This record gives sequence, C-alpha cells and structure tokens, in this order.
Amino acid sequence: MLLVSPALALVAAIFLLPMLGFLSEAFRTDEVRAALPHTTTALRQWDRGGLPDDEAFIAVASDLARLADIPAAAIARRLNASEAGLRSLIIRTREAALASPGLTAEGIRMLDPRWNEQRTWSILETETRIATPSFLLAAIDREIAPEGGIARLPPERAIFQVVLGRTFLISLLVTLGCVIIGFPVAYALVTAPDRLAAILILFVLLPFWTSALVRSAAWVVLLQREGLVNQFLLRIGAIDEPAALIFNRIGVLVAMIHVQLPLFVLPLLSVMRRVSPDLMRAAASLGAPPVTAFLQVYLPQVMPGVVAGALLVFTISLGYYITPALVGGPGDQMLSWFVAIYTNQTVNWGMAGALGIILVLSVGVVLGVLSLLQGTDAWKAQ
Amino acid sequence: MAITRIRQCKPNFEELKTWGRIGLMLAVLPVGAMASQAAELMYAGTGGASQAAARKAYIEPFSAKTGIKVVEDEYDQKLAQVRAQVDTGTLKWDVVNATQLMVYVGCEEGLFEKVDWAKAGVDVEAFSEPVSPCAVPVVNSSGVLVYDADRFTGDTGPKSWQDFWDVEKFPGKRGLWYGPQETLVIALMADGVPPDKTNEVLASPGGVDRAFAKLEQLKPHILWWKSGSESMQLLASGEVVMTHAWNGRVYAANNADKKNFKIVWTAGHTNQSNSYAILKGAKNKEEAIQFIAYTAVPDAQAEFAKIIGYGPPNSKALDLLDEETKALIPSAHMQYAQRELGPVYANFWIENSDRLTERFAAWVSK
Repeated sequence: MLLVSPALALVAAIFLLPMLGFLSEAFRTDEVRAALPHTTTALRQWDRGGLPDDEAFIAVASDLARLADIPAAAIARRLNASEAGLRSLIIRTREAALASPGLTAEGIRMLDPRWNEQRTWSILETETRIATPSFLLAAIDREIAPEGGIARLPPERAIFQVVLGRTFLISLLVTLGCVIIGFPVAYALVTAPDRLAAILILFVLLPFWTSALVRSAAWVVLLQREGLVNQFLLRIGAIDEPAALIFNRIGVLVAMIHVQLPLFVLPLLSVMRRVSPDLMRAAASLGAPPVTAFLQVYLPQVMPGVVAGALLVFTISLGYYITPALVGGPGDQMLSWFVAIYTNQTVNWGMAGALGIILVLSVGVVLGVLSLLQGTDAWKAQ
Repeated sequence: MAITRIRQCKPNFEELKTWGRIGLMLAVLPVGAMASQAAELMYAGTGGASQAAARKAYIEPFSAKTGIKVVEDEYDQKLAQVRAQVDTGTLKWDVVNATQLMVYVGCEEGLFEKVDWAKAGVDVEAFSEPVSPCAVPVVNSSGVLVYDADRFTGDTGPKSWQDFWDVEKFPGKRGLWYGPQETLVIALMADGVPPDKTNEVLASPGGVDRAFAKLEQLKPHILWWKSGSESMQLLASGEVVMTHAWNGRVYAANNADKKNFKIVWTAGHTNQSNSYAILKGAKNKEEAIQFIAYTAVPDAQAEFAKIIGYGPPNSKALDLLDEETKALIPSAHMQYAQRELGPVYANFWIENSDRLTERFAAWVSK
C-alpha cells in the first residue's frame, strides 16, 4: 500500500478530484442559491400548487437588484438553459428592480406575464433546491413536469438514449473488428521468425505513435469520393460510381479499428508468448486434429489476453471523440461529442457533467459485469 | 550585506561582472516590459482568409501609421471565450472580431466596453446599419446559394432555394453550414417565406418547427460543412452539386483558383456584419479605440472589400469600388437579403441560440 501511495496521490490530485468536480456540475445549484438567497428561502414554503406568495416575488426582485452585471447574466443564462426566454425575464426584472427599489409583488406581476405562470416558478424552485436532478434527467431524456413527477422530454429534445445506444454499438463493432483482425496478427507475430516479427510489430505500433489528427486526415484522403480507394475500385470495375466511404459509419469504423488495433494486439501478444508451443505438439501427438487442438488447448490459454484486449478497446472506444468528429457524419457522433458541445459551445456545464456521469457509469457497469463473468482468478493470471 | 562582503574580499572581477549583469537586467526588465505593453494591441480575429485580408487592409497600415504593434490571435467567435476572460479578469485580448449576435448578447451582459464612437472620430451616420456603443461593423458578408457553372451550363442551374430542395430535378448532395442560424432561415426561404420576412416567421410560434420540418425533407441529401474552405472544396470536388457558402469564399475560389462558381443572389441570402468590439477592462483600451476608428474609414473598408469580396458596412466605401467589384458584394443585392439584424432577430436569437444549437445537434445526429 505504501509503495503505491505516491501514484494514488497523483491520480487523486490530477485526475480524480477534477473529474469529480466536473461531474458534480450535473446536480450543483450553489451558483443559483448564492445569487438568489431570499428567493431560495421563500420558495421552500411553496407547495408547487398555483403561484407562490407575494414574499417570493419581492425576494426575486431584491435578490436580482443586489447582483452585479456579470453574475446576474450568469444566472439568466443558466435559467435560460432550462427554459428559453427566462434570460430576458431575469434581465428585465433586474433592470426594473434597479430602477424602482420599492417594487411590489403586483408591480412584478405587471412587468411580465411569465411571472404569472406556474412553470416559471417551478423551474426556479427546482434550480434552488439543494441539488437539481434536471440535468441528469435530461441526460436520460426525462424532465420534471411542472406539476411535479417525471415526464418524457418532447421528441425534438430526446436524443441521448439513441446516442448512448449508438455509442455502445460503435464500440462493440470496433471491438469485434479488432478481435477479428488482431487475433491472426498477434498469432503471426508470435510464430514469425524474430526479424520478421520486429518489422511486423512496427506496422502495428506505427498508428499508435501517430497523432489522431494525422491518421484521420490520412483516412479522409484515402476514402473520399475521388480518393485512392474509390479510384482503385472504379478501375478494377468493382463499382460503377464512387462509393460513400467517409463521413459515415464505414469511415468511423475503419478509422477507429485502425487506431485501436495496437491496444488489442499488445496485451494478447504478451499472453500468447507465454503459451509453450510444446503443448500444441503434445495435443497433436495424442491424436487431436489441429482445429480441436487449437480450440481446446490453445484458445483457453490465450483467452485472458483476448478478453483484456477487447475490454481495453471497448472501454476506450466508449469515450471516443476526435475520430468520429473528423471522419464521421452527424449520425455517427458518440456521447462525448455532445459533452464537447455542452462544454465549449453552449457552456451548459450541468448537461456536460450529467452526460459525463452517464459515460462513467456505462464504463463502470461494463467492467463490473465482465469482471463478474471472468471471476477474480482470471484477472490475477494476467 | 552582499555588497559589503564583496568589498571585504579581494576584488573578484568575474563576480563583480556577474552582479553587474544581474543588476542591469533587473533595472532594464520592468522598463522593457512596460514599454512593450504601451505600444501593443492584442487582437483576436477569425483566422483564415478573412484575417489575412484584415491584416493587409487594417492591421499593417494601422501599425505603420501609429507605431502601435498589433499582436494577432485567432478564435472561433464563441462568446464563451470572451466571457471567460472578462469574468476572471485575465484578459488576453483587447479587440475581437465579433458576430452580430455576440455584440447583442455581450453588450447586454457588460462584456464589451461602451464607447462614444462619434467622439472617437467614427462617421457613424455613414454606416448602412445602426452602430452599437459596443462595436463598429467592419465587414458585411452573405451566405449564398452557389453552384458550379461548369456543371450546370447556360440556363440549367438552380434558381431558388426551392430548386435547392428539388432532388428530382437536380440529383446529388447539397452543402449546408453545420449550425442552426443560417440553416433554419434557408429552410424557411425554401418553404416560400420571403427573405425579409424570415426573422418574423422564425420567431413566431411554430416557426422553428416549420423550419425543422422543411429541413427534414432534405436531410438525407445534405452534406454539412464546418468551415468556409470546406464548402468550396466540396463543390470543387463534386461531392455536392450546389451549396450554401459565404460569398467571399466564392469570390476567392473564382479569382484565385479560377473556378466558375455562380452565386444565385435572387434566391435569397443570409446577410450579417461582423464588428470589432473592445473587451471590458481591456488594458489597451485607447489603442483599441484608435484601431477601430482607423478600420471604420471608407479607404480601409474599401481596401478590405477588394481583397476578400465581402462588403464594407461604411457605405461611403462603396464609392471607392469599381462597378465589377460592387456587383460581387452583398450591398448590390440587399433586396433579396435576410438580415441578421434588428430587434426581432436579436430578441429571438439571444433567447434561443443555445437551445437551438442543442436542438440542431440532436436533430442532425438522429
């Protein structure tokens, strides 16, 4: 334990803590609560039936009047993420409250009809709870209905179940591709003479050392409409007109398998190296046909390597962002692409954190299930 | 202490020299840093051909005239990048090239300095659009329907956004910009809304759904481009038979790459100005005002228009352009324009741009 404590401290400081901080954005409300303290208190007494008391109206106005420009804008933006239009409501109400300090509840009601809508107050109430479930619910295509309870999001906003399914499907296909292509490669590497093996392993490692950007750009050159692959297929007469090979699912799978292949081959290689060739010979001498010897003697021994490699490829694929973004179409984008949109474009960190939680949970569930299936012994064998 | 100790020792010239050097460096360093700060202006543009044109027409002549060094940076016109700097008080930039929507939102949120431009010497009256206290328009561009006239010769090309949607008559893929703003407006134009009415229709109840429904019809035939150069490359390589593109890009493709791309202005186009704005609390605010005032004069704006084929927001610059150039820039075709300007546009997009960015991303990836 003492030996690994520096490593643990490092991981905790530069990885675990920032990650937890980011994920906690998914349900944090301290920004809103700190900006609107009186509103927060006033809304605790509201039962979501009808409109709240006058006290809540006046609390909103006095809270907003005390805020400086930039924090007020931040609150307005944050509420606007829950309901388009709340931004202007907050900014206008703040302006009115600054202009006339003695603004009454009646005055606020007159200011904007949206203060007379239960939905507006319902959002405020949700956003000033100790923690908000809104983002996590939205990440599974659900929302809190104005009257309480959980409802499905309208179809134009419900997307994440589809995207999560797609993320798993692409990761699964990439893993399968790596197993099918990588197993023979690893076997060839083990059985080849040393010098040849050294050259072969270079081919496996080369994509591993190249930057993702260069690799993806190379695939665009190869696979585009007038790219080398299409020209070749046209020349040999396999197709009559250029096939769509890039900016779609085919492009994503080809490029991702290419990138991930070393991650599958390397763990498998180390396991295969430890399997003595004598065992296969022994099986043959006892009368087993090659296929039987392979299936019953060889495969069980290298299985931990296959599982370890596949697991590595699958979990890393789940979080893939850059390759699908560069060589995929809009319909091939995975969950992390949406995390990027919410982080950089619309600066909706609550949503980004919620999707991050979904991603981390997915990986956790996959690892958990597989380690149960494998049993602890197989893990130690590696 | 150190000095007395040196005196007590035998004179060691090497050591004295070292101390002298350190002293000299300490004395010079702050002065040097201050001097370079005083004559610098941190500028963030959009990169690419547009920034290259700005360098030639605005930045280099301004530096030559005033001696103020302009340090260039690039960014992708996201208000979040400005907000992060102003919020934390760590300003990297003084002047940014901002979209109209950024100016509206940023001005309201107090992210930009408010300046009396007339006092700073800007001829505010000459501009073809209102000049906000937060920014001065510097380039006017249009998103246009364009096709390759070598592919559709004579009179056979598309004439309207309805034709753009007509995949029977014009088989093949179409290029559209990957984002909600222009795309939703184009969908409404294809649905028969006159360009100057699209802002109202989009902002009215059901307007957004109508636009998305129209886009849905064309969805399988759309290739989405993310940068101006990509739109031209898709058209040149034949991946798309027609595309939505920035008119300056078409100008460059026809001039520099000798393409025969044809803009269909009469189909309707999306038009917007980009402006220069000063970040709130900018270190070099006075230099920034000088710079913006310099870029607002007709000469500079006309020079910029000649290089890139976008229009000058200062209408007096038009008099300095020849007839041929004038026909190629948006101002000659404003009767067919949807303008990203005015209260209807501003109110709608300020409230809805984040939500629509998210909805668009969801729709496009389904």
